[in-house]
Amino acid sequence: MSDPKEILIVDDSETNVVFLSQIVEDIGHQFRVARNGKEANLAIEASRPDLVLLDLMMPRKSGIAVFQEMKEDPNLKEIPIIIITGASEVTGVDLRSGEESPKETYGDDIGHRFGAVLHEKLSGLTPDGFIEKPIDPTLLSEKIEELLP
Amino acid sequence: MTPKVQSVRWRIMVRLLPMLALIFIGVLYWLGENLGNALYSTNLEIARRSNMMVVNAVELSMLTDEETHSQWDRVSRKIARDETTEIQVVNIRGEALFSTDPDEGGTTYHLDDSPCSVCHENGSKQASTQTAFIHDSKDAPYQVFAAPLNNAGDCRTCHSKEGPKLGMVFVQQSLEPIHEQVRAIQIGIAIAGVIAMVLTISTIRMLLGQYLDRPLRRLVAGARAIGTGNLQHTIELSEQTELAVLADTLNASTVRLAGLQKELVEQERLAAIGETVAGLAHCLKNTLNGLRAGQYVIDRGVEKNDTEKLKTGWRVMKEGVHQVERLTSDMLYCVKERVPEREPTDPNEIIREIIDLLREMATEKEVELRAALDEEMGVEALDRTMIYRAILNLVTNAIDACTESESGDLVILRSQGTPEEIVLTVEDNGIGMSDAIQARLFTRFFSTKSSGGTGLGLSVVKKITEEHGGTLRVKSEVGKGTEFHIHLPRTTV
Repeated sequence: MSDPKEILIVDDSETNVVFLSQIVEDIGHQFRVARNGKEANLAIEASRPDLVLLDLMMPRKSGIAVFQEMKEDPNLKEIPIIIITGASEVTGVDLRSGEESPKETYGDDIGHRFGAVLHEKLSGLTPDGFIEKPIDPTLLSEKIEELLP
Repeated sequence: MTPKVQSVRWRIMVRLLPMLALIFIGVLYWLGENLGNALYSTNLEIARRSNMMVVNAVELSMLTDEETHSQWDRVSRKIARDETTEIQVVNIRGEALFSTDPDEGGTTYHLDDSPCSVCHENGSKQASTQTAFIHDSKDAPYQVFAAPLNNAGDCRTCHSKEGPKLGMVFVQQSLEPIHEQVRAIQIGIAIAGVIAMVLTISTIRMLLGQYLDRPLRRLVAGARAIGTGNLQHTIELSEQTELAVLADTLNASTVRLAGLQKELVEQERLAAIGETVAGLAHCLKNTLNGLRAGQYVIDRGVEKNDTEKLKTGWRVMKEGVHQVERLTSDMLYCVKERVPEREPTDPNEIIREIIDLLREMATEKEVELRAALDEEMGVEALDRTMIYRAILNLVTNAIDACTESESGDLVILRSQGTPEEIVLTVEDNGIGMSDAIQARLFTRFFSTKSSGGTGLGLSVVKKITEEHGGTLRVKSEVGKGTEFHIHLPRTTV
C-alpha cells in the first residue's frame, strides 16, 4: 500500500462529503474538504493535493471553473482530477427529455463554454476520471488507486 | 373569408327560369299565332267557298234567264243564314245590287273609299289582294273574300257591250267568333303553358332537391360537424350518386382521422409518462446516492464500533428518507385535483411565519429576508396550508438563486391588496433565469439544481395558485434577479 496521499474533496453537498471522505479513509488516504470553488482555490494554495475529487455544480464558483483553472496552471495541471457528478450536468443531456441542451451558465462564463460537449472532451482537456452519481465506492476506490500508484 | 353562399339549386333555378320562360312563351306564342292563322285560313276558305257558290249562283240565275236575277238572292240568303256571314254583290259601277245586310243595300261603293281602298290601294282598279280584313259601317271586324263576276262566255250574250268585269261578289265572314275562338285558344294555351311551366319547374326543383340540394346540405352539415371536432359523425345520403361516393370518402377519412387522433393522444400520454419516469429517475438517483452514502458510513461504523460514524451515517440516511418523502408528497400533490379548503386567512401572517422559519438558514447563506407587506390588505378566504407551501417553495428557490455563484443577497416578500385581488410576491436579486430556462420553468422535474430539489416545486406553486382561481406570473433577467407574483382573486368571505 502506498503512503497516504492527500485528496482534496470539493463538494457543496454534505452527503457527498460524508460519502467521499469515508471512501478516501477506507483506502488509507487523507482528505481535506472544500465547499465550493473559492474554498478549493484557497485549499490548493495552502497545500498541494495529490488528487482532487471535484463536484461540478456548486454555488459561488462552479467546479468547471476550478477544473479549467487547474488544468491551465502549469503547476497544477499534473494533479489528477476525478469529476463526481450526475450525467446530465456533464454531457448536457437533459434526462427529462433525452435531448441535448446547452448547459446554462448560472453566471459562469467558463461553465457556459462547456456547452453540449460530451463528457470525454473538455476543450481538449480530459478529466482523469469520471464518476457518476450514485457513487459506487468500489469503482471510485479503484480509480483513485489507479491514479495514485 | 367566406362569400355569401347560395344553394346550388337556387342558382340553377334562377338561371333556368328565364330561359324556360322564354322557351315557353316563344312556343306558346308561335302556337297561338299558328292556331290563329289556321282559324283565319279556315274562315277564309269558308268565305271563298261561299263566294264561289254565290258566283255560280249568279251565273246560273243569269243563264236561266230570269229578269230579276234573284236566284243568287236566295242562294246568298241561304249561305248567309247565320249572322256571321254577309254577302254583297256589286256591279261595275260600285252599286250594291244585293246585300244580305239590310243596312248596306242600295249603297254605292267607291274605289278610293273604305272598305274598297283596303284592296284597291290608291283607288286603283286592280286590287292587290283578294282577301282582306275590314270593318263594316258598325265597326265589326270581317274577313272578306272578293271574287269578280267576269264577263265571259255566256255572259257576253247579254253583256257584250260591257267591260271584262261585270261586278264583284263579296263574302264577309265575321271575325268575331274567330276572335273569340282565338282568344279562348290563347287563354287555354296560356293556362296550359303556365301549368306546364309550373309543373316543369316544380319537377326540376324537386329533382334538384333530391339529387343535389339535400345531399349537398347533408355533406356540408357533415363536414361542419367533423370540422368542429365531432369525429363520430357519419354522412349518410339516400341517393347513390357521385355525392354518395364523396360522402363515403369523407366518412372514411374521418374514421382514419379519429384513429390518428386516438393514436396521437396515446403517444402524448406515453411521452408524458416517459418524461415523468425520466424525471423521477433523475431525482431518485440523487436520493439513492444519499442513501448509499449513509449505508456505507453506517457499515463502517458498525465494523469499527464507531458511534460517530453511526450518527453521521444515520443523519445522511434520514436526509435521504426526507427527500423521498418530499418527492412523494410533491408528486402526489401534482397529480391530485385539490379543492382549496378556504378559511379566513391573513397572508401577511403566513409570510412572517416563513421568514421566521428560514431566517437562520438564510443568514447562514448570507441572504437577507425582507418583508414589504400591505397592512391594509385584510383577511381573505384561502387554504392556509396550500398558500404556506406555495410561498415556502418560492422563498427557498429565491434563496438558492441568491447563493448560486454568490449572485445575490436579498429576498423580498411582498403583499398587496386591491379590491379585486391580492398579490403575493417573492423577489430576489439572484442569478436570474434565461429565456431558455423560463420556457421550461413549469416542466415537471425540470431543475437547475444538481441535487436536493425535486424539480416539482414550481409545479406545485402553479397548481396551488390555479386551484385558488389565480394566476402565477414570472419576470426574470439573467444577472439581475427574479420576481414571482401570485395573483389571487378576492372572494366574498
